[in-house]
Amino acid sequence: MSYVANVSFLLALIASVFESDGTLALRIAARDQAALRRLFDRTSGRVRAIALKLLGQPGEADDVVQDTFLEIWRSIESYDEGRGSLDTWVSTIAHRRAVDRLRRRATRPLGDDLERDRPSDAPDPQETVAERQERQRVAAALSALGDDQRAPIELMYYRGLSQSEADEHLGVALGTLKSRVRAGMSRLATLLEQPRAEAP
Amino acid sequence: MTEAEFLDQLGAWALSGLTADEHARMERYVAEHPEIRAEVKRTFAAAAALGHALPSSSPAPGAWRRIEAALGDGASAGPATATAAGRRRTWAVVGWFAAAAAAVLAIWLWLDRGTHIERERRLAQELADRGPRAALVDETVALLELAGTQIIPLEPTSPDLEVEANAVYHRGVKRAYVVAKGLPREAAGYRIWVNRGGARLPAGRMAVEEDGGVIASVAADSLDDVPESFEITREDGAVVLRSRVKI
Repeated sequence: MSYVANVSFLLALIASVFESDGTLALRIAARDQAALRRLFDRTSGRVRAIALKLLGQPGEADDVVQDTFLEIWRSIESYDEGRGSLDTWVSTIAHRRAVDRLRRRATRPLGDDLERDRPSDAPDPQETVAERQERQRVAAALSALGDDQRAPIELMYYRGLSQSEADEHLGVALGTLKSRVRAGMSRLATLLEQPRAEAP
Repeated sequence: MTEAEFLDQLGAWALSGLTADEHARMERYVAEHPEIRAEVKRTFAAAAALGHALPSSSPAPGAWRRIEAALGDGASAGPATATAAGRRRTWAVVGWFAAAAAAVLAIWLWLDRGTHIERERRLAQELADRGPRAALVDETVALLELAGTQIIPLEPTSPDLEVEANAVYHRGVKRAYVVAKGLPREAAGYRIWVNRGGARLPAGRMAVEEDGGVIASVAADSLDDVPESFEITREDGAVVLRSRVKI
């Protein structure tokens, strides 16, 4: 192995052992496909879950998975650790991609049953203990919100409605909707920031 | 846009509930008001948790292979909905320019190779000596691996100082780190400065560790444009280290 290859190998080894979000992002920015693969392995299950929830069709959900990781590859230099974890950034891109597809559809039956959108707290044999705890924690935090705050959040996140579509659906003024979403998201963040044992 | 207007829209932004124009305005506001990033981080984390609470769904078999194939089609491959033929045409043109640029760069790198390799070797050793736990170490190492990263020697202003110091800088990702060995320990530490367009911008502080080593990140907002030079000063303003090479 050449000297240059030795140095590169050593640097890669050090970085892979102590890999933070920032490091992984830098490696993807350096066009390291193995780094993108690690991110794919870590997050693609969530990406597809978000897309499937919004779009309902496995084929389209798989397209969103592909679109999401190609966008990550293209725009990784815009990732800013100060604005959130890499997992949050990936989920945000996936959600936006799925919502874009949804809004391109000619018709979007909404239905009224928001309850079924909410993460369930019933056990799922496929999931790990950590996944179940996370799901139950979010379900509990959402349930702790008042209906007026929870409904617009669920309509926008799980149904892909825009702000103006949500106010129309709920029959409230846009200003009212904005303040409800603002208060609801702030309360949700506070609830989710609490130590797990103390979560509602 | 005022801060109140921004905060009114922040929740809807995190929930993908804004139009493309509104989204762009929010992005601009954050870029101009970095102090708001903590609130943005908090709100987007809450929105992402709504997605993380959904039961995980395994991608279809071969999903990664399709992504890999799209990446091979062009490093900046377009979305799945773009036509492959269109992508190939675009990238064929870009490819010719890239190949020409790479040839020029390769010649330059070959000429500069010996100095660069030796400097990189010493720097890697120095980083390893800093201890593997420092988060800054792996970030610096990762930056070193990026194509286009510059290792800029920082030279002591006094012949009495036996200091080996470098700034590791990448203009594309707008990040830089200072790695130094042999600086005298100062109770108040040192200041990092970025000089650009006749202005001297504060770019952070650094403290010398017990073993005489320093590793510090340069403030990102001082790297919005390419610096002309880096300087390290004592608290009283006396310049201790300065870069002299063209960046």
